[in-house]
Amino acid sequence: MWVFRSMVAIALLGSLTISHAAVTEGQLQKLATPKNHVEIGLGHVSEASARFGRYNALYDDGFFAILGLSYLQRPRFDADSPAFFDISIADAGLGNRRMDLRGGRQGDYFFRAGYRERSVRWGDGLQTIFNPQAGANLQLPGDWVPAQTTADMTALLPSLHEFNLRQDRRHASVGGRKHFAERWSVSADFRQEDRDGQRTMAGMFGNTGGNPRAAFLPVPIDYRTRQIDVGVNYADRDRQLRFGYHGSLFSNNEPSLTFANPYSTITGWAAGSGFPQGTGQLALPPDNQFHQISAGGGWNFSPSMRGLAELAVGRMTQNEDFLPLTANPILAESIIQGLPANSLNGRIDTTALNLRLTGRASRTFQWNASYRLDDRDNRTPSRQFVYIGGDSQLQDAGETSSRRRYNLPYDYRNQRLRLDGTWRLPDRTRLTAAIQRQRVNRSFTARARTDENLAELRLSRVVNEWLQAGLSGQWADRTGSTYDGAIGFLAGHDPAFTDTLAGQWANLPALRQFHLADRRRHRLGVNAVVTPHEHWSIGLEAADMQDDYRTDLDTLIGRAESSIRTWSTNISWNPNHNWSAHGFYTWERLTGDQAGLSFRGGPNRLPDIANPERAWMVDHRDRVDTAGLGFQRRWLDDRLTLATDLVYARARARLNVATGPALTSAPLPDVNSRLRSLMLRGSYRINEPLTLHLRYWNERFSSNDWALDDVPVDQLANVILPGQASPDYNVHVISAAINYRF
Amino acid sequence: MIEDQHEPITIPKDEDNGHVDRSKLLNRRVWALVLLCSTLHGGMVAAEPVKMPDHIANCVRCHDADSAEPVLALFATPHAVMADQRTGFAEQGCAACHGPSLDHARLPARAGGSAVEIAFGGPGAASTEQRNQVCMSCHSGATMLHWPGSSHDFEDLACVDCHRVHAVKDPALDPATQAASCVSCHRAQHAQMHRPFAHPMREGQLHCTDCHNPHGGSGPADLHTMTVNENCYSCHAEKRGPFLWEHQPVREDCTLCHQPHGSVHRDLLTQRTPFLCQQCHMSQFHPSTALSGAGLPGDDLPSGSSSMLGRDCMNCHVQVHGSNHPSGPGQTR
Repeated sequence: MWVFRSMVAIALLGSLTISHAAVTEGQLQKLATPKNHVEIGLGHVSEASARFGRYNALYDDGFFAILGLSYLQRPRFDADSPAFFDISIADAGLGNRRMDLRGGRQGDYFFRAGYRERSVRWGDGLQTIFNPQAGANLQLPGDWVPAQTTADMTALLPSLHEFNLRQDRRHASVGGRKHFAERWSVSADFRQEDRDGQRTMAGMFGNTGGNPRAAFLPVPIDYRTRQIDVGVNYADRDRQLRFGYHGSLFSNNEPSLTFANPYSTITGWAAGSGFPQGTGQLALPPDNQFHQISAGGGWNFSPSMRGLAELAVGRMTQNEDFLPLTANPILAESIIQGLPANSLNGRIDTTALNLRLTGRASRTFQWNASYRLDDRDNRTPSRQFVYIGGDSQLQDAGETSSRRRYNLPYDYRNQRLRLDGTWRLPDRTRLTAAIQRQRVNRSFTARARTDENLAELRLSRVVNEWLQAGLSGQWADRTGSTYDGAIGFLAGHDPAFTDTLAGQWANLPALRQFHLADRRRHRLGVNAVVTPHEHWSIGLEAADMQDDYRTDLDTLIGRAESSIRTWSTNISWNPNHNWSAHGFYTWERLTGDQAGLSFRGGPNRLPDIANPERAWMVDHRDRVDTAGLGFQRRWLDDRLTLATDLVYARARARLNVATGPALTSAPLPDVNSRLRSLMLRGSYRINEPLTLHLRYWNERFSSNDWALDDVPVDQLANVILPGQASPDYNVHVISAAINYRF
Repeated sequence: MIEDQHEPITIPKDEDNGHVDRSKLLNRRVWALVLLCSTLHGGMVAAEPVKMPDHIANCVRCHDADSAEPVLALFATPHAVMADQRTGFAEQGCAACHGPSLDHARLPARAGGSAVEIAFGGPGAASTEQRNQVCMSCHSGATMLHWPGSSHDFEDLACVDCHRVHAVKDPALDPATQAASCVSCHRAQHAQMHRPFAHPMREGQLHCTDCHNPHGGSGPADLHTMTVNENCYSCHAEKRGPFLWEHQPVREDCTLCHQPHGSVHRDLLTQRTPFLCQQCHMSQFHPSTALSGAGLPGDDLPSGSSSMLGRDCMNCHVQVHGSNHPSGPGQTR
């Protein structure tokens, strides 16, 4: 019917046509031609800052080039061939350069290829006693003077090298899609990403009982990830089907990091553990793979009901060769019980299922019923390993040794059943309600099952032409099976050892881990959009979410409660094409209370946990204020445009610690950060194809952190720190570029 | 061919098209090669009338370059490619989306007549359902599998609330402008992007749709992937494992410890370490110790607590995402 009416209309419209001017080629070309351009320019950064440039590649001071290209060749609307071609190059003069290329015949096929680099800086000026260029085998300087603590390491400061935390990603991709048999299409994408750079981790010696020693190391990053996606799709008016394969293969060219021990042998370490023979080894991320096949379909059973089913079955595997129990040949001689296997043969089978029915019972009521399954069946073998603590112990393979450990292949199953309904009520009012039941099953964890019931209600109403308001509420209650905090501990140790331990637990029995604990959640939200005038729009939003973990009286230890309170407002003013302005402000307050109890081992263990004077509390009080202001003004028939954006963000993390009389504590300073960013942009169209772009950007960031600031490499007795300071910068960037449109 | 089926309308040459005479400019400014290029380019701009089928020309007659409701940019979009018969534009022109609208063609609303049958904006806009049906009549392919019943569908969002059909470049499909559209509603996420530790969304290196499918996704929060962790592994594959010594919450859900849109705490953690760690690890000696300002540096070197300074717990337990070292059950190897 629709088609028939349209055809009649087309005929009639033709008859209505008159013969005088409407659109010229020039106008069409001006208004309906992609803005292809080449951009060339120069910029300058006033000071080097890793944090400022961590994601925009402007981490070095000095000049940088601005090079970009955008070219889109689309078929003219009446062209015989719907072929198109699109190439864009951006930030070619920076470490974030990218190039994308697309082409094809619209409605038939397209292909794409892309290359991008992403140069990330996490920190600069870190210090290490190892040569940062040494790769995966870190040796100490020839004149190294070992000691049991940093206090006596006389060669420490003279031996320091600087290094930066960086990661360079190079990402290449090719792909495309081809339509066939009218309703089918096949697609394929291949992506390869190489990452190299340097991060830092501590290399530690020792085990427990107060004997660990550590030094921060420059750790090489040399990863490659290949991903492939292949899909076959079908779509008609009432049905959609898709079948897919996803593969992800990760490889690491540096599977381990070996490092010399800068410490002398201390009490509790085996002879030969310390300098000069002492050697440690870290396992770096192992090669792994993930393969997944999926099938999904949607079906409109009737004009008012639709079904959706989607199933994905996957497998994660990892079988990197195990490193030896110790990298130290002296300690290796003590090994009585070797490795139970050469590699993990790790495997997790994943099954994910989405089922959904959607219906419209009437013009005013729409509903959803959905079920979601996320199942991860961990088929990794569990074996016993008699480990060697921190490349500093002889192997203790005794029957009651705490070093006999079993790896735990955690299973996970998450099922969610949800019903949603939305009603269009009179007076432009809308009511949305949902109920949900979620069950999570886990293995080797303190709670084998958690259940959460959730209810949501949202009401929105267009009150009048200038006011739209909404109210929302959420309530959720999580409970579950009996909480037994010792399950993982018992499963991971040999019973011969756990039988010797008072109480047979490691974590305090009263602890409730926050993701397993009973929890009641309430959330309330209000929002409004006020449009007092057609040029003005004001948005207001406030929300309060409270999590209460104290629903079980035994929940004395762990996260007790948390909350997130926010309110925000945004305003925009658009009087005409030449003017626009906007502003926003968001206030967030995140709080959390946690309870703990300090207890010792041995004979003090049980008396301590019964002593309320050893209890402690920490209150987390984070506050974030974010504000922004911007405007744009056009003059001279759009030839001149000026714009500015101002952003201010302040974050404060406060911790209040309170302890019982048996313990001592002292207040902690706040951790603060403050960002002020001003961007001024101007562009002037010199003539039709040429536009000059000028930009000034000033960003000031200041922060403090008691864990980093004024904490030199030798601050701690037992850890050689990297000497990283919290970032602080004031960077000015200016740039000028000519944009040539063609 | 379409031109054969419909007699092209004749549009006289525009006498005053407002463009600069580039040949004069060439004579005056030969000093600049770039300007020369621009001159040649400008000279190529034609003022010839556009030939187009009647049923399209009739709309463009009013909705021309000076129209208050500009539509000409549509001609630069895939929707107006008549050689692609799927678009409906060749056969039906504007009526393919706006309905036949005969009354509007005879006398438009501004002149006291009728609006188009399906208007996508303004006070006479059609219902969300009607508008979306128009889009879905073509865009109901596999990528839209989840749209019916998705969160945005339930919020009564129309496709045109985000997308601009009459634009050379749809801002919702342009990575540089996409986030502005998303955060106009998702205010909380907008604020989180400005926190001191965040994914590079503010810098334009990561986009909302890199993780989320606004048309409805397979995973929680409309993620493209079936699970949260699968999504994270697409960029952080080194954390996928499986590992010999797993950290249970890590295996379960990355967001138990990390806030993906931004955090006050380093590494996008939900709370400050070591206190975050102590919410799950409360065993004898150092894991249960009451940590406070007493662990900060004193006047002498060395001083301070290794559970508080530097990377606190991660000064030793460096493999919190899992270790594959046979001697790493404590995540120290």
